[in-house]
Amino acid sequence: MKVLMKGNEALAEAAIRAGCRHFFGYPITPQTEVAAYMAKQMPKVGGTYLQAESEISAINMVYGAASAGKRAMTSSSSPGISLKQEGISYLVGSDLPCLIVNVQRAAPGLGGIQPSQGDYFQATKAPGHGDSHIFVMAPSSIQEMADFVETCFEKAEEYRMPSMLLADGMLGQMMEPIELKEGEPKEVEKPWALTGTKMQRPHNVINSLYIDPPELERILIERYERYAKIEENEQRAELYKMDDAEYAVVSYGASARIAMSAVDKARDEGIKVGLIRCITLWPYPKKFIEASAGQIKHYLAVEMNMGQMVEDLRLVVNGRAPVDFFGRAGGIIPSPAEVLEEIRKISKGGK
Amino acid sequence: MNVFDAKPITIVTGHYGCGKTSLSLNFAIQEHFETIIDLDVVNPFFRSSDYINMLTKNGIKVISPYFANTNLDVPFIPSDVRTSVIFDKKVLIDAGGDDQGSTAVGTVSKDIISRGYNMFYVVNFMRPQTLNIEDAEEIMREIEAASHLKITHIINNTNLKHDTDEDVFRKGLKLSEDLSEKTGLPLLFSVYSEEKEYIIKNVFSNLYKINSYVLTPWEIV
Repeated sequence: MKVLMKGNEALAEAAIRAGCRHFFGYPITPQTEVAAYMAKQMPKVGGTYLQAESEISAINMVYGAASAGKRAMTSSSSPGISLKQEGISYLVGSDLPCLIVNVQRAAPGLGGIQPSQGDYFQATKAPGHGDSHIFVMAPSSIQEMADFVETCFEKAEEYRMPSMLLADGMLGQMMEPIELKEGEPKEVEKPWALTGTKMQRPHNVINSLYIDPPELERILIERYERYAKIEENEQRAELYKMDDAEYAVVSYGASARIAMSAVDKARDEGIKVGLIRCITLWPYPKKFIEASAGQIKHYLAVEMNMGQMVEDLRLVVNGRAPVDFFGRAGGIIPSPAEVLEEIRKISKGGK
Repeated sequence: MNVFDAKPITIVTGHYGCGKTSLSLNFAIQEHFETIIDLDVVNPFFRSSDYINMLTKNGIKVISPYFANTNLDVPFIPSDVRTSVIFDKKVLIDAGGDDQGSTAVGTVSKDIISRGYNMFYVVNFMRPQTLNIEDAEEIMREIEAASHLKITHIINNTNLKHDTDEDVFRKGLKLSEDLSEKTGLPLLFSVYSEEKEYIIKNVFSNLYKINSYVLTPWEIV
Protein backbone atom coordinates (compact mmCIF):
# COMPACT_ATOMS: atom_id res chain seq x y z
CA MET A 1 0.00 0.00 0.00
CA LYS A 2 1.22 3.47 -0.86
CA VAL A 3 1.41 6.26 1.70
CA LEU A 4 2.28 9.94 1.38
CA MET A 5 5.46 10.78 3.29
CA LYS A 6 8.01 13.49 3.90
CA GLY A 7 11.59 12.47 3.17
CA ASN A 8 12.63 12.75 6.80
CA GLU A 9 9.73 10.59 8.00
CA ALA A 10 10.26 8.06 5.23
CA LEU A 11 13.89 7.45 6.10
CA ALA A 12 13.04 7.16 9.80
CA GLU A 13 10.26 4.64 9.15
CA ALA A 14 12.51 2.72 6.75
CA ALA A 15 15.20 2.49 9.45
CA ILE A 16 12.71 1.02 11.92
CA ARG A 17 11.56 -1.48 9.29
CA ALA A 18 15.22 -2.34 8.58
CA GLY A 19 15.53 -3.46 12.20
CA CYS A 20 17.22 -0.37 13.61
CA ARG A 21 16.22 -0.09 17.26
CA HIS A 22 18.84 2.41 18.40
CA PHE A 23 18.61 6.03 17.33
CA PHE A 24 20.81 8.69 18.88
CA GLY A 25 20.42 12.26 17.72
CA TYR A 26 20.34 15.94 18.38
CA PRO A 27 17.85 18.30 16.70
CA ILE A 28 18.85 20.52 13.78
CA THR A 29 16.85 21.99 10.89
CA PRO A 30 16.11 20.65 8.27
CA GLN A 31 16.25 17.06 9.60
CA THR A 32 14.46 17.45 12.94
CA GLU A 33 11.47 15.38 11.74
CA VAL A 34 13.74 12.32 11.75
CA ALA A 35 14.26 12.69 15.49
CA ALA A 36 10.61 13.68 16.07
CA TYR A 37 9.42 10.59 14.20
CA MET A 38 11.84 8.32 16.05
CA ALA A 39 10.81 9.80 19.42
CA LYS A 40 7.19 8.85 18.67
CA GLN A 41 7.70 5.48 16.99
CA MET A 42 10.74 3.87 18.67
CA PRO A 43 8.99 3.26 22.01
CA LYS A 44 6.13 1.54 20.13
CA VAL A 45 8.52 -1.10 18.71
CA GLY A 46 10.59 -1.54 21.86
CA GLY A 47 13.47 0.52 20.50
CA THR A 48 15.55 3.31 21.97
CA TYR A 49 15.26 6.94 20.95
CA LEU A 50 17.75 9.05 22.78
CA GLN A 51 18.37 12.75 22.42
CA ALA A 52 22.00 13.18 23.38
CA GLU A 53 23.43 16.39 24.86
CA SER A 54 25.36 17.02 21.64
CA GLU A 55 26.12 15.56 18.23
CA ILE A 56 29.46 14.25 19.54
CA SER A 57 27.69 12.32 22.29
CA ALA A 58 25.18 10.94 19.79
CA ILE A 59 27.84 9.56 17.44
CA ASN A 60 29.73 7.98 20.35
CA MET A 61 26.50 6.33 21.52
CA VAL A 62 26.24 4.91 18.00
CA TYR A 63 29.80 3.60 18.46
CA GLY A 64 28.70 1.82 21.63
CA ALA A 65 25.55 0.29 20.17
CA ALA A 66 27.38 -0.76 16.98
CA SER A 67 30.13 -2.41 19.08
CA ALA A 68 27.42 -4.57 20.63
CA GLY A 69 26.38 -5.65 17.11
CA LYS A 70 23.19 -3.60 16.98
CA ARG A 71 21.84 -1.72 13.97
CA ALA A 72 22.34 1.84 15.16
CA MET A 73 22.03 5.22 13.53
CA THR A 74 22.30 8.94 13.99
CA SER A 75 21.01 11.79 11.90
CA SER A 76 21.93 15.44 11.55
CA SER A 77 22.48 18.27 9.11
CA SER A 78 25.73 19.79 7.90
CA PRO A 79 27.08 21.66 10.99
CA GLY A 80 26.03 18.73 13.17
CA ILE A 81 27.84 16.26 10.90
CA SER A 82 31.05 18.25 11.32
CA LEU A 83 30.71 17.79 15.06
CA LYS A 84 30.34 14.04 14.53
CA GLN A 85 33.51 13.73 12.47
CA GLU A 86 35.74 12.64 15.32
CA GLY A 87 33.34 9.82 16.15
CA ILE A 88 33.02 8.83 12.50
CA SER A 89 36.80 8.46 12.27
CA TYR A 90 36.76 6.23 15.39
CA LEU A 91 33.96 4.12 13.85
CA VAL A 92 36.03 3.74 10.67
CA GLY A 93 39.14 2.91 12.70
CA SER A 94 37.23 0.25 14.62
CA ASP A 95 35.54 -1.22 11.50
CA LEU A 96 32.05 -0.63 12.92
CA PRO A 97 28.90 -0.65 10.78
CA CYS A 98 26.28 2.06 11.35
CA LEU A 99 24.16 4.57 9.46
CA ILE A 100 24.76 8.32 9.51
CA VAL A 101 22.15 10.51 7.83
CA ASN A 102 23.10 13.97 6.59
CA VAL A 103 20.18 16.14 5.43
CA GLN A 104 22.47 18.85 4.09
CA ARG A 105 21.87 22.56 4.52
CA ALA A 106 23.76 25.62 3.35
CA ALA A 107 27.21 26.13 4.88
CA PRO A 108 30.07 26.71 5.85
CA GLY A 109 29.70 27.61 9.49
CA LEU A 110 26.12 27.84 10.64
CA GLY A 111 25.31 28.76 7.02
CA GLY A 112 21.55 28.52 6.68
CA ILE A 113 18.63 26.16 6.81
CA GLN A 114 17.89 25.88 3.09
CA PRO A 115 19.01 22.89 0.96
CA SER A 116 22.58 22.37 -0.24
CA GLN A 117 24.98 19.70 -1.44
CA GLY A 118 28.00 21.40 0.06
CA ASP A 119 29.11 18.37 2.07
CA TYR A 120 30.06 16.19 -0.93
CA PHE A 121 33.79 16.60 -0.25
CA GLN A 122 33.36 15.88 3.45
CA ALA A 123 31.30 12.74 2.83
CA THR A 124 33.42 11.27 0.04
CA LYS A 125 36.96 12.50 0.76
CA ALA A 126 37.34 13.12 4.47
CA PRO A 127 34.45 11.82 6.60
CA GLY A 128 36.86 12.01 9.54
CA HIS A 129 40.59 12.38 10.18
CA GLY A 130 43.00 9.82 8.76
CA ASP A 131 42.87 7.51 5.76
CA SER A 132 39.22 6.63 5.63
CA HIS A 133 36.13 6.06 3.54
CA ILE A 134 32.48 5.53 4.31
CA PHE A 135 29.84 4.11 1.97
CA VAL A 136 27.80 7.07 0.67
CA MET A 137 24.45 6.95 -1.14
CA ALA A 138 22.56 9.92 -2.62
CA PRO A 139 18.77 9.45 -2.89
CA SER A 140 16.83 11.51 -5.44
CA SER A 141 13.27 10.69 -4.42
CA ILE A 142 11.34 9.93 -1.25
CA GLN A 143 11.11 6.28 -2.34
CA GLU A 144 14.92 6.19 -2.46
CA MET A 145 15.18 7.98 0.90
CA ALA A 146 13.42 4.92 2.30
CA ASP A 147 14.98 2.20 0.13
CA PHE A 148 18.60 3.33 0.53
CA VAL A 149 18.37 3.25 4.33
CA GLU A 150 18.24 -0.54 4.25
CA THR A 151 20.93 -0.75 1.54
CA CYS A 152 23.16 1.48 3.67
CA PHE A 153 22.71 -0.77 6.72
CA GLU A 154 23.37 -3.91 4.65
CA LYS A 155 26.50 -2.58 2.95
CA ALA A 156 27.77 -1.21 6.25
CA GLU A 157 27.48 -4.66 7.81
CA GLU A 158 28.79 -6.54 4.78
CA TYR A 159 31.97 -4.43 4.65
CA ARG A 160 32.14 -3.46 8.35
CA MET A 161 32.19 0.29 7.84
CA PRO A 162 29.94 3.29 8.51
CA SER A 163 27.58 4.28 5.74
CA MET A 164 25.98 7.62 5.01
CA LEU A 165 22.69 8.62 3.44
CA LEU A 166 23.60 11.98 1.92
CA ALA A 167 20.33 13.83 1.38
CA ASP A 168 19.51 17.53 1.44
CA GLY A 169 16.86 19.80 2.94
CA MET A 170 14.71 19.60 -0.19
CA LEU A 171 14.48 15.80 0.00
CA GLY A 172 14.03 15.92 3.76
CA GLN A 173 11.06 18.26 3.60
CA MET A 174 9.20 17.39 0.41
CA MET A 175 6.43 14.79 0.15
CA GLU A 176 5.87 11.97 -2.35
CA PRO A 177 3.84 8.77 -2.37
CA ILE A 178 5.97 5.75 -1.50
CA GLU A 179 5.68 2.03 -0.96
CA LEU A 180 7.18 0.97 2.36
CA LYS A 181 8.92 -2.39 2.53
CA GLU A 182 7.15 -5.19 4.39
CA GLY A 183 8.79 -8.26 5.90
CA GLU A 184 11.72 -9.06 8.13
CA PRO A 185 15.12 -7.43 7.61
CA LYS A 186 18.10 -9.63 6.72
CA GLU A 187 20.00 -10.72 9.83
CA VAL A 188 23.79 -10.73 9.54
CA GLU A 189 26.19 -12.77 11.69
CA LYS A 190 28.46 -10.49 13.72
CA PRO A 191 31.02 -12.78 15.37
CA TRP A 192 33.16 -9.72 16.19
CA ALA A 193 30.49 -8.01 18.33
CA LEU A 194 30.81 -7.43 22.05
CA THR A 195 27.98 -9.61 23.28
CA GLY A 196 29.62 -11.28 26.28
CA THR A 197 31.91 -14.31 26.02
CA LYS A 198 29.82 -16.50 28.38
CA MET A 199 33.27 -17.98 29.10
CA GLN A 200 32.96 -19.89 25.84
CA ARG A 201 35.09 -17.85 23.44
CA PRO A 202 38.04 -15.46 23.58
CA HIS A 203 37.36 -11.78 24.16
CA ASN A 204 36.41 -9.63 21.19
CA VAL A 205 38.14 -6.26 21.11
CA ILE A 206 36.78 -3.13 19.41
CA ASN A 207 39.52 -0.55 19.18
CA SER A 208 41.06 2.14 16.99
CA LEU A 209 44.29 2.69 18.96
CA TYR A 210 47.45 0.97 17.66
CA ILE A 211 50.72 1.91 19.32
CA ASP A 212 52.82 -0.25 16.99
CA PRO A 213 53.23 1.52 13.57
CA PRO A 214 53.72 -1.67 11.48
CA GLU A 215 50.54 -3.14 12.95
CA LEU A 216 48.53 0.02 12.18
CA GLU A 217 49.94 0.11 8.65
CA ARG A 218 48.97 -3.55 8.12
CA ILE A 219 45.41 -2.82 9.30
CA LEU A 220 45.18 0.20 6.98
CA ILE A 221 46.39 -1.86 4.02
CA GLU A 222 43.83 -4.57 4.79
CA ARG A 223 41.10 -1.94 5.08
CA TYR A 224 42.10 -0.43 1.74
CA GLU A 225 41.92 -3.88 0.13
CA ARG A 226 38.32 -3.98 1.33
CA TYR A 227 37.74 -0.47 -0.10
CA ALA A 228 39.07 -1.72 -3.47
CA LYS A 229 36.53 -4.54 -3.38
CA ILE A 230 33.73 -2.03 -2.69
CA GLU A 231 34.88 0.15 -5.59
CA GLU A 232 34.79 -2.96 -7.77
CA ASN A 233 31.37 -4.25 -6.69
CA GLU A 234 29.19 -1.44 -5.38
CA GLN A 235 29.20 1.45 -7.87
CA ARG A 236 25.67 2.51 -8.75
CA ALA A 237 24.27 5.10 -11.16
CA GLU A 238 21.16 5.60 -13.24
CA LEU A 239 21.54 6.31 -16.96
CA TYR A 240 18.73 8.47 -18.37
CA LYS A 241 18.40 9.00 -22.13
CA MET A 242 22.09 8.18 -22.51
CA ASP A 243 21.82 5.65 -25.39
CA ASP A 244 22.21 8.17 -28.22
CA ALA A 245 23.40 11.10 -26.09
CA GLU A 246 26.16 13.41 -27.36
CA TYR A 247 26.09 15.55 -24.24
CA ALA A 248 25.77 14.42 -20.64
CA VAL A 249 24.63 16.09 -17.46
CA VAL A 250 26.12 14.43 -14.37
CA SER A 251 24.30 15.03 -11.12
CA TYR A 252 22.97 13.43 -7.91
CA GLY A 253 20.33 13.90 -5.21
CA ALA A 254 17.75 16.67 -5.59
CA SER A 255 19.78 18.44 -8.29
CA ALA A 256 19.48 15.31 -10.45
CA ARG A 257 15.69 15.77 -10.39
CA ILE A 258 16.14 19.30 -11.69
CA ALA A 259 18.71 18.12 -14.24
CA MET A 260 16.33 15.39 -15.43
CA SER A 261 13.58 17.94 -16.02
CA ALA A 262 16.08 20.14 -17.95
CA VAL A 263 17.25 17.13 -20.03
CA ASP A 264 13.63 16.43 -21.03
CA LYS A 265 13.16 20.03 -22.15
CA ALA A 266 16.46 20.01 -24.07
CA ARG A 267 15.40 16.78 -25.82
CA ASP A 268 12.19 18.57 -26.91
CA GLU A 269 14.47 21.11 -28.57
CA GLY A 270 16.32 18.31 -30.37
CA ILE A 271 19.49 18.41 -28.25
CA LYS A 272 20.88 14.87 -27.79
CA VAL A 273 21.56 15.10 -24.07
CA GLY A 274 21.35 12.47 -21.35
CA LEU A 275 21.77 12.30 -17.58
CA ILE A 276 24.17 10.20 -15.52
CA ARG A 277 22.66 10.23 -12.04
CA CYS A 278 25.21 9.13 -9.44
CA ILE A 279 23.57 6.95 -6.79
CA THR A 280 26.66 5.90 -4.86
CA LEU A 281 28.96 8.88 -4.24
CA TRP A 282 31.59 6.73 -2.57
CA PRO A 283 32.37 4.56 -4.38
CA TYR A 284 32.07 7.15 -7.17
CA PRO A 285 30.33 5.48 -10.16
CA LYS A 286 33.46 5.70 -12.36
CA LYS A 287 32.44 2.73 -14.52
CA PHE A 288 29.28 4.46 -15.71
CA ILE A 289 31.15 7.61 -16.68
CA GLU A 290 34.01 5.62 -18.20
CA ALA A 291 31.48 3.80 -20.40
CA SER A 292 30.25 7.12 -21.79
CA ALA A 293 33.71 8.53 -22.57
CA GLY A 294 34.26 8.59 -26.34
CA GLN A 295 30.51 8.97 -26.88
CA ILE A 296 30.04 12.24 -24.99
CA LYS A 297 31.34 15.47 -26.55
CA HIS A 298 30.84 17.65 -23.48
CA TYR A 299 29.94 16.97 -19.82
CA LEU A 300 28.08 19.28 -17.45
CA ALA A 301 28.13 18.67 -13.71
CA VAL A 302 25.12 20.13 -11.85
CA GLU A 303 25.24 20.49 -8.07
CA MET A 304 23.90 22.65 -5.26
CA ASN A 305 27.36 23.89 -4.27
CA MET A 306 30.32 25.78 -5.75
CA GLY A 307 31.64 22.72 -7.61
CA GLN A 308 32.69 19.55 -5.77
CA MET A 309 31.61 16.33 -7.53
CA VAL A 310 32.78 17.95 -10.78
CA GLU A 311 36.36 17.23 -9.63
CA ASP A 312 35.69 13.48 -9.50
CA LEU A 313 34.04 13.72 -12.90
CA ARG A 314 37.11 15.46 -14.36
CA LEU A 315 39.39 12.76 -12.93
CA VAL A 316 37.43 10.04 -14.73
CA VAL A 317 36.94 11.93 -18.01
CA ASN A 318 40.65 12.78 -17.82
CA GLY A 319 40.72 15.33 -20.61
CA ARG A 320 38.88 13.22 -23.19
CA ALA A 321 36.06 15.82 -23.34
CA PRO A 322 35.44 19.22 -21.77
CA VAL A 323 33.83 19.10 -18.32
CA ASP A 324 31.92 22.16 -17.13
CA PHE A 325 30.06 22.97 -13.96
CA PHE A 326 26.82 24.70 -13.08
CA GLY A 327 25.64 25.12 -9.53
CA ARG A 328 23.78 27.36 -7.14
CA ALA A 329 24.77 27.62 -3.50
CA GLY A 330 23.86 29.22 -0.20
CA GLY A 331 20.50 27.45 -0.08
CA ILE A 332 19.41 28.44 -3.60
CA ILE A 333 18.02 25.59 -5.69
CA PRO A 334 18.90 25.76 -9.41
CA SER A 335 15.87 25.95 -11.67
CA PRO A 336 15.32 23.57 -14.62
CA ALA A 337 15.34 26.68 -16.89
CA GLU A 338 18.84 27.65 -15.70
CA VAL A 339 20.17 24.14 -16.30
CA LEU A 340 18.49 24.04 -19.72
CA GLU A 341 20.31 27.27 -20.65
CA GLU A 342 23.64 25.63 -19.69
CA ILE A 343 22.80 22.57 -21.80
CA ARG A 344 22.04 24.85 -24.77
CA LYS A 345 25.45 26.52 -24.32
CA ILE A 346 27.45 23.27 -24.33
CA SER A 347 25.43 21.91 -27.27
CA LYS A 348 26.57 24.93 -29.29
CA GLY A 349 30.17 24.21 -28.39
CA GLY A 350 30.27 27.00 -25.85
CA LYS A 351 30.84 27.53 -22.10
CA MET B 1 -24.04 31.71 4.16
CA ASN B 2 -20.56 30.73 2.97
CA VAL B 3 -18.68 29.10 5.86
CA PHE B 4 -15.67 31.32 5.13
CA ASP B 5 -17.79 34.41 5.85
CA ALA B 6 -19.55 32.97 8.88
CA LYS B 7 -16.91 34.08 11.40
CA PRO B 8 -14.21 36.78 11.33
CA ILE B 9 -11.48 34.19 11.85
CA THR B 10 -10.92 30.92 10.02
CA ILE B 11 -8.14 28.62 11.21
CA VAL B 12 -6.65 25.76 9.19
CA THR B 13 -5.09 22.99 11.31
CA GLY B 14 -4.18 19.37 10.87
CA HIS B 15 -1.50 16.74 11.08
CA TYR B 16 1.93 17.64 9.88
CA GLY B 17 1.95 17.38 6.07
CA CYS B 18 -1.83 17.05 5.61
CA GLY B 19 -1.90 19.90 3.07
CA LYS B 20 -2.63 22.90 5.31
CA THR B 21 -0.43 25.32 3.40
CA SER B 22 -1.77 24.32 -0.01
CA LEU B 23 -5.35 24.65 1.23
CA SER B 24 -4.70 27.94 3.03
CA LEU B 25 -3.29 29.48 -0.16
CA ASN B 26 -6.36 28.38 -2.10
CA PHE B 27 -8.80 29.57 0.57
CA ALA B 28 -7.04 32.95 0.85
CA ILE B 29 -7.36 33.56 -2.89
CA GLN B 30 -10.64 31.86 -3.78
CA GLU B 31 -12.52 33.08 -0.70
CA HIS B 32 -11.11 36.63 -0.81
CA PHE B 33 -9.58 36.82 2.65
CA GLU B 34 -8.33 40.20 3.81
CA THR B 35 -5.43 38.76 5.77
CA ILE B 36 -3.52 35.47 5.93
CA ILE B 37 -1.40 34.75 8.98
CA ASP B 38 1.36 32.16 8.61
CA LEU B 39 1.77 30.67 12.07
CA ASP B 40 3.61 27.62 10.81
CA VAL B 41 6.68 28.15 12.93
CA VAL B 42 7.52 24.43 12.92
CA ASN B 43 8.13 23.91 9.23
CA PRO B 44 11.18 25.48 7.61
CA PHE B 45 10.14 25.00 3.96
CA PHE B 46 6.89 24.86 1.96
CA ARG B 47 5.00 27.39 4.06
CA SER B 48 2.54 30.14 3.20
CA SER B 49 5.10 32.93 3.45
CA ASP B 50 6.98 31.32 0.52
CA TYR B 51 4.12 32.59 -1.61
CA ILE B 52 3.97 36.22 -0.40
CA ASN B 53 4.22 37.67 -3.93
CA MET B 54 1.30 35.65 -5.22
CA LEU B 55 -0.84 36.54 -2.21
CA THR B 56 -0.08 40.27 -2.20
CA LYS B 57 -0.78 40.42 -5.94
CA ASN B 58 -4.25 39.14 -5.05
CA GLY B 59 -4.62 41.98 -2.55
CA ILE B 60 -4.16 39.79 0.51
CA LYS B 61 -2.20 41.03 3.50
CA VAL B 62 0.41 38.46 4.62
CA ILE B 63 1.64 38.28 8.18
CA SER B 64 4.46 35.85 8.74
CA PRO B 65 7.34 35.31 11.15
CA TYR B 66 9.89 38.06 10.43
CA PHE B 67 12.59 35.68 9.37
CA ALA B 68 10.49 33.33 7.23
CA ASN B 69 12.07 32.92 3.80
CA THR B 70 15.51 33.77 5.08
CA ASN B 71 18.22 31.52 6.36
CA LEU B 72 17.31 32.19 9.98
CA ASP B 73 15.26 29.65 11.86
CA VAL B 74 13.82 31.67 14.74
CA PRO B 75 10.39 30.45 15.77
CA PHE B 76 8.65 33.44 17.33
CA ILE B 77 5.33 35.18 16.80
CA PRO B 78 5.28 38.70 15.35
CA SER B 79 3.33 41.32 17.30
CA ASP B 80 1.07 42.22 14.36
CA VAL B 81 -0.50 38.74 14.53
CA ARG B 82 -2.55 39.87 17.54
CA THR B 83 -3.39 43.22 15.94
CA SER B 84 -4.80 41.46 12.88
CA VAL B 85 -6.69 38.91 14.94
CA ILE B 86 -8.39 41.73 16.84
CA PHE B 87 -9.07 44.24 14.04
CA ASP B 88 -9.07 42.67 10.55
CA LYS B 89 -12.43 41.75 9.02
CA LYS B 90 -11.70 38.40 7.44
CA VAL B 91 -8.63 36.56 8.69
CA LEU B 92 -7.25 33.17 7.68
CA ILE B 93 -4.71 31.51 9.95
CA ASP B 94 -2.41 28.79 8.60
CA ALA B 95 -1.47 27.04 11.85
CA GLY B 96 1.49 24.73 12.22
CA GLY B 97 1.17 20.96 12.15
CA ASP B 98 0.28 18.76 15.11
CA ASP B 99 0.20 19.90 18.72
CA GLN B 100 3.64 21.57 18.58
CA GLY B 101 2.58 23.71 15.63
CA SER B 102 -0.79 24.59 17.16
CA THR B 103 0.87 25.95 20.29
CA ALA B 104 1.60 29.16 18.36
CA VAL B 105 -2.08 29.78 17.62
CA GLY B 106 -2.82 29.04 21.28
CA THR B 107 -0.96 32.21 22.30
CA VAL B 108 -3.73 34.33 20.75
CA SER B 109 -6.62 31.98 21.53
CA LYS B 110 -8.40 34.44 23.87
CA ASP B 111 -8.59 37.09 21.15
CA ILE B 112 -9.69 34.48 18.61
CA ILE B 113 -12.49 33.27 20.89
CA SER B 114 -13.76 36.80 21.57
CA ARG B 115 -13.85 37.58 17.80
CA GLY B 116 -15.48 34.28 16.84
CA TYR B 117 -13.89 31.57 14.71
CA ASN B 118 -14.20 28.41 12.68
CA MET B 119 -11.37 25.91 12.96
CA PHE B 120 -10.94 23.34 10.21
CA TYR B 121 -9.21 20.04 10.79
CA VAL B 122 -7.61 18.91 7.52
CA VAL B 123 -6.98 15.19 7.25
CA ASN B 124 -5.19 13.06 4.67
CA PHE B 125 -5.82 9.38 5.39
CA MET B 126 -2.83 8.42 3.18
CA ARG B 127 -0.39 9.86 5.73
CA PRO B 128 1.18 7.06 7.81
CA GLN B 129 0.29 8.63 11.17
CA THR B 130 -3.36 9.18 10.22
CA LEU B 131 -4.25 5.94 8.43
CA ASN B 132 -7.36 5.34 10.56
CA ILE B 133 -9.96 7.41 12.39
CA GLU B 134 -8.57 6.59 15.86
CA ASP B 135 -5.17 8.12 15.02
CA ALA B 136 -6.81 11.03 13.22
CA GLU B 137 -8.98 11.77 16.24
CA GLU B 138 -6.03 11.56 18.63
CA ILE B 139 -4.14 14.21 16.65
CA MET B 140 -7.32 16.30 16.51
CA ARG B 141 -7.58 16.26 20.30
CA GLU B 142 -3.87 17.09 20.71
CA ILE B 143 -4.33 20.12 18.46
CA GLU B 144 -7.35 21.27 20.48
CA ALA B 145 -5.43 20.93 23.73
CA ALA B 146 -2.39 22.83 22.44
CA SER B 147 -4.38 25.61 20.75
CA HIS B 148 -7.01 26.07 23.49
CA LEU B 149 -9.56 26.09 20.65
CA LYS B 150 -12.23 23.69 19.40
CA ILE B 151 -12.30 22.20 15.95
CA THR B 152 -15.56 23.02 14.16
CA HIS B 153 -15.31 21.24 10.79
CA ILE B 154 -13.44 18.38 9.14
CA ILE B 155 -11.95 18.77 5.66
CA ASN B 156 -11.05 15.63 3.73
CA ASN B 157 -7.79 16.14 1.83
CA THR B 158 -6.96 12.46 1.31
CA ASN B 159 -4.52 12.18 -1.58
CA LEU B 160 -1.35 10.50 -2.79
CA LYS B 161 -0.30 13.52 -4.85
CA HIS B 162 0.11 12.37 -8.48
CA ASP B 163 -0.83 8.79 -7.60
CA THR B 164 -4.34 9.70 -6.38
CA ASP B 165 -6.95 7.46 -8.02
CA GLU B 166 -10.62 6.71 -7.50
CA ASP B 167 -9.89 4.09 -4.81
CA VAL B 168 -7.79 6.52 -2.82
CA PHE B 169 -10.53 9.13 -3.11
CA ARG B 170 -13.26 6.69 -2.11
CA LYS B 171 -11.29 5.41 0.88
CA GLY B 172 -10.58 8.94 2.12
CA LEU B 173 -14.21 9.91 1.83
CA LYS B 174 -15.40 6.84 3.76
CA LEU B 175 -12.91 7.43 6.60
CA SER B 176 -13.76 11.12 6.74
CA GLU B 177 -17.46 10.33 7.03
CA ASP B 178 -16.66 7.85 9.81
CA LEU B 179 -14.54 10.45 11.61
CA SER B 180 -17.34 12.98 11.24
CA GLU B 181 -19.86 10.53 12.70
CA LYS B 182 -17.57 9.55 15.59
CA THR B 183 -16.73 13.13 16.57
CA GLY B 184 -20.06 14.73 15.70
CA LEU B 185 -18.24 17.37 13.63
CA PRO B 186 -19.53 18.13 10.14
CA LEU B 187 -17.50 17.09 7.10
CA LEU B 188 -17.24 20.42 5.28
CA PHE B 189 -16.08 19.04 1.92
CA SER B 190 -13.50 16.87 0.15
CA VAL B 191 -10.66 18.54 -1.66
CA TYR B 192 -9.37 17.65 -5.12
CA SER B 193 -6.76 19.23 -7.32
CA GLU B 194 -7.52 20.41 -10.83
CA GLU B 195 -5.46 17.69 -12.56
CA LYS B 196 -7.55 15.00 -10.83
CA GLU B 197 -10.87 16.37 -12.04
CA TYR B 198 -11.37 13.45 -14.45
CA ILE B 199 -11.33 10.97 -11.55
CA ILE B 200 -14.02 12.51 -9.44
CA LYS B 201 -16.25 14.01 -12.09
CA ASN B 202 -19.80 12.63 -11.78
CA VAL B 203 -18.69 10.22 -9.03
CA PHE B 204 -18.51 12.29 -5.89
CA SER B 205 -20.27 15.34 -4.52
CA ASN B 206 -19.54 18.03 -1.90
CA LEU B 207 -16.17 18.90 -3.38
CA TYR B 208 -13.74 21.80 -3.28
CA LYS B 209 -11.33 22.34 -6.16
CA ILE B 210 -7.83 23.64 -5.48
CA ASN B 211 -4.85 24.73 -7.55
CA SER B 212 -1.49 23.10 -6.85
CA TYR B 213 0.62 26.04 -5.75
CA VAL B 214 3.02 24.08 -3.55
CA LEU B 215 5.42 22.48 -6.02
CA THR B 216 8.97 21.18 -6.10
CA PRO B 217 11.34 23.11 -8.42
CA TRP B 218 11.15 20.39 -11.10
CA GLU B 219 7.34 20.47 -11.12
CA ILE B 220 7.28 24.18 -11.99
CA VAL B 221 6.81 24.56 -15.74
